[in-house]
Amino acid sequence: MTSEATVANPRYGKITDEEVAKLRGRMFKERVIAVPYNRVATLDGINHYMRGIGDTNPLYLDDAYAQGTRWGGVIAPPCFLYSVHWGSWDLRRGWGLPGVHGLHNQDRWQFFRPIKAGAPVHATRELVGLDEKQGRLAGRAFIETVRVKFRDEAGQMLAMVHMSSYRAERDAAKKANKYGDVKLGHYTAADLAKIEADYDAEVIRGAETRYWEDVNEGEVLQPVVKGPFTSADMIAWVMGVGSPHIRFGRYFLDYRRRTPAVVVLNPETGVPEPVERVHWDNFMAGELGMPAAYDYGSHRGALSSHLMTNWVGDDGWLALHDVQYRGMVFLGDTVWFRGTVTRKFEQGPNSFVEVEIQGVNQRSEVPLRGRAIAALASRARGPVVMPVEEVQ
Amino acid sequence: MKTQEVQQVEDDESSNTYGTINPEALAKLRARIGKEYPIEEPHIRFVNRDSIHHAARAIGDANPLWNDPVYAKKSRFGKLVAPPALLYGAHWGAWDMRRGEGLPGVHGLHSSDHWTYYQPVLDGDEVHATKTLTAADEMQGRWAGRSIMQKRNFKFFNQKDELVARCLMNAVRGERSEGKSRGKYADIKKATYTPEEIAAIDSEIEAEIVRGANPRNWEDVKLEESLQPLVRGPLTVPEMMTWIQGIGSPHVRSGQFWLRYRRQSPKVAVPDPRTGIPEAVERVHWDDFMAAEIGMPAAYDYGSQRGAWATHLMTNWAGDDGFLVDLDVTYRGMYFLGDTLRIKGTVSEKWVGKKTGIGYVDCTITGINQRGDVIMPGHATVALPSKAHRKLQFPIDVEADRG
Repeated sequence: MTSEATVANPRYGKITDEEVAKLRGRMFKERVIAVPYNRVATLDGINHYMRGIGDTNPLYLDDAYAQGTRWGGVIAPPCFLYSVHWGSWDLRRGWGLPGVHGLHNQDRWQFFRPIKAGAPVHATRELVGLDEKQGRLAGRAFIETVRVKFRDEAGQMLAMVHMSSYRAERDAAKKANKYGDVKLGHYTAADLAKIEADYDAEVIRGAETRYWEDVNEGEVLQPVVKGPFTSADMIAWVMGVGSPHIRFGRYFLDYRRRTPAVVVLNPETGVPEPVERVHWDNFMAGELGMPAAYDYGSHRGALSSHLMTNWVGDDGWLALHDVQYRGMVFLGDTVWFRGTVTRKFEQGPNSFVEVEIQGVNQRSEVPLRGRAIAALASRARGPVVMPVEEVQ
Repeated sequence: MKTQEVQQVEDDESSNTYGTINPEALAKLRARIGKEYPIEEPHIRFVNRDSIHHAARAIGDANPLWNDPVYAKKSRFGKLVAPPALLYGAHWGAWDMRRGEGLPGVHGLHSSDHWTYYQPVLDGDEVHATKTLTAADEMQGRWAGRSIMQKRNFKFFNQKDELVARCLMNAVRGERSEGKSRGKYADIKKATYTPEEIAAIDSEIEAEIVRGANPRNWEDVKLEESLQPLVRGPLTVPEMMTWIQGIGSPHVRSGQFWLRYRRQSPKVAVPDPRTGIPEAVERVHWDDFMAAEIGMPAAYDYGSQRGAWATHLMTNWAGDDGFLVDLDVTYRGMYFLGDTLRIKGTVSEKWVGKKTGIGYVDCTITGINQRGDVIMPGHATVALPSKAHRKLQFPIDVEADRG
């Protein structure tokens, strides 16, 4: 499970009945996300996001190229939307259970309409799930789910995500000890050359339409490799999507005053810093008992979507992307995102393909599992019909 | 002893493996003198609420003229204004600012910026920049080895091809031995703070004054008047990250972009000795380990950040009806993680433009760290509303007005 400073303090608070009741009282109240990182899918914003995940697909970067596609110009890649809600400064308000650690463990995305470059995006958040789980160790635990809706200027639904976090009272150090023996990434020149060959082998389907009829169950997608991860990758990620807790000067002062739990004092210097630094700072991660800094769940989700956007091509449409984040991705790790077609089906006017997805690291562990459903153009039925309806 | 030269590793295809300034490389560099090249891969092309807000956050500037659309609508501009610091995103944060300037493996130290601003940049504008190398002069460096003072002239245009600003950016390219670099900062320890000291700095942040909608009239300004100072820090890695979130980073790249870059410019990456993984040497700006590898007690800031903070000092003071027209700052010494910087300004001169009769005020700027080192000396000039010019008209050419 990834740690992402949802209620950013690694102190372990208790989950009391009162706090749970208070939180349940907040359910199903849709609130505007008022301080997103990106309000508009600008060409620059899309560019920064693409750079953030290391994706060179011209559909999302090159307006001259994209004008030759059915979209008529650059569109935002599906997980660009992390820059609207995840990088916002107010997504996490009202998530309750103060002092209780939160681990982002799943994103279930649905995409309905294209977002053209220059289009504003309006997002709302709503607490929709608070399910008690039997913790692996003693102590209460909940899966808390927030639903974010993304709408266009006219109020039409562009996309939706169900974002889940594991809220648990157990001591973080106890959990972290299980990573004490992890063999962090170390690479010879030959190792790196192999990974570079995998980068070179990446295929962007692009303008060559992938037809539904030509896809076979059991078909394997061309993998997408990411890493070996360094702090620069984490920085590139927040450059692309924003950061919930990184703030400067007056902004940081106001934040510290309003939400003291978001900072820890750097033990070396006494300077308050957001605990989010566990994501790029080995020292701080060590303070939490981790062998190294580690990624954000959302980062993993976005990277895994790159597998799908490469494969569906300019004429395809990623309709559903449902991924769980398991275990840690540490700095120094390399992850290969792989997919296999598991079924084909028709629904409404569209023809869909389901893909089982896995992210596998250099230790053969699986830090990401999930499935995606894409609409593809059909020789018989024609191009993908927009908006794409909800699929399960 | 006060440090005179900036010991920053930054820019260009420089890396920790030292290159030399050989005659061929120098000739290649000099062949570019006078040639204007477009910057084609900037961080910021479009000025809009998002990019303006990101740039304001990048320097910790909560001025409502850049941040609050309702407030900005009531201003004379009728819309959000870009803070002058945003323009760093059109050149400094570009991926191709340094391309073609050669001397690979030779350190580049950003030593000064001289900005001249001609007109404001507004919500809805686009910006693009060009670069011209104006000089590559040999100089005696502070440490052994040859140094080149590399001077560049950047011009910033809007979508109507109007010149909105110009920046003369100097960098020192120097060969130097590791031994010399390790000696100078070896004794500096990372600063530490008690909660009371942090609270005191917080009070200084709160004491910041944004002149805003209350015009500062030229007639009312007094010589020797002090500007409300700005405090920065204690500097942390998150603050470095907000800078590059808003302005861009020359060398931070991911995935396919990183692979492509390393192949194009091999010296931009250095394998981490602990993992073997190639990493951008730019990480001296956020990674204490890498900073230690080059003899620094901690990671340290980018020179351009200091220049941007200086603009913040001035725009706070100038007010919505004033306009920063000139900023000339030098980056001296290091600003390490954990250091606190106070930027002060004093009015040194009041004068009237020869051509336009606009009222100008010159200020001296001093940026001092908590150890008492002056790490950013400089000057700035602001045009203010006056009886003769209640509303400034743009473009303003302060150099022509100086006569």
